[in-house]
Amino acid sequence: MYNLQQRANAVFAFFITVLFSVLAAVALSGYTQLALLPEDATSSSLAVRSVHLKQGRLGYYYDRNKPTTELGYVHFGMNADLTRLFNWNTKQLFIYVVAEYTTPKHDKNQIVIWDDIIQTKEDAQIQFRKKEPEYVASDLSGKLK
Amino acid sequence: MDVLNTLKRMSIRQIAQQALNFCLIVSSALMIWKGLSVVTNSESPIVVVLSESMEPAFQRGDLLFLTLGREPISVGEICVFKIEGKDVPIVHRVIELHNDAKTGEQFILTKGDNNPVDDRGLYQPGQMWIKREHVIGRVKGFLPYLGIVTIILNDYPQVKIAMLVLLGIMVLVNREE
Repeated sequence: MYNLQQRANAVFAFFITVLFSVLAAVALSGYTQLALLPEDATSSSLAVRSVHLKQGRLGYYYDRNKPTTELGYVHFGMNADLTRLFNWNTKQLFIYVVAEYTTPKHDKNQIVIWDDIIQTKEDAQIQFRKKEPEYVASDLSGKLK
Repeated sequence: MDVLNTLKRMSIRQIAQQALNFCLIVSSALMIWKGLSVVTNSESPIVVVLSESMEPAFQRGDLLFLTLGREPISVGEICVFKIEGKDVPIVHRVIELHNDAKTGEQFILTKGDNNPVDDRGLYQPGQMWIKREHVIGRVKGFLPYLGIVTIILNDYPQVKIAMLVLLGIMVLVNREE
């Protein structure tokens, strides 16, 4: 009544069903664990230590005719404890420091000045007194002040 | 030969029925894909990661699920975008953003987590920003490993043809009892 192909088909279909049910449960557990965390589970504080300005050009195609732009280097200090964001289903935390400001012409400007990938709970405590920025800040107008 | 014999034994009515089944499968697959496109507002709601530039978040062969939505893009989001003149879409993170107050036009700069520098070298020569219209979708979820199948199918076209022929034969010959 049942030949080999039909049996193999049934076993495979069952395997796929189980696999995807487990995957769905895993995904759901990750979300719920994050959602159940209290508001004050993580703490962080940030302070700007110094801002240096330079003149230069952005991009990698050197063009002498392009006007120079003001480039801002923001050194900052940071304290953060993100250990509680790690549960058994956490792959990585991507943390980034954003400089956000508004100008009359542009109502929302966001510039990431530093980022990091954290993969273990042990690395999730961050303490910098003065950290160099990874990315230079600049505005579309070419002026930062 | 076995296949030919089975085909010979089938009446015209049965062959027509099988052909109809085949069309049904193809068209429902297409409908699901286009339906997903409409729901997610993205022209291709599922993409495969082809490069290592977003490691360790995404590896080569991961499947990504995208939506586009109407709300403006913000910094830190992972976007899939297409550069004019290049047909392979890129999956990278937004690291800088300037929003025009009047028109809402967005100037976006991206970078791969695993790359040392931002993407201005990947854009067209002299292009400083990508715009909203270059973005195909934002990554909302991922499923590892499965996409390696499409990578193999694209790298070895013979495998693709063999698989399509095999599937076609199976659908045509497999009779529902």
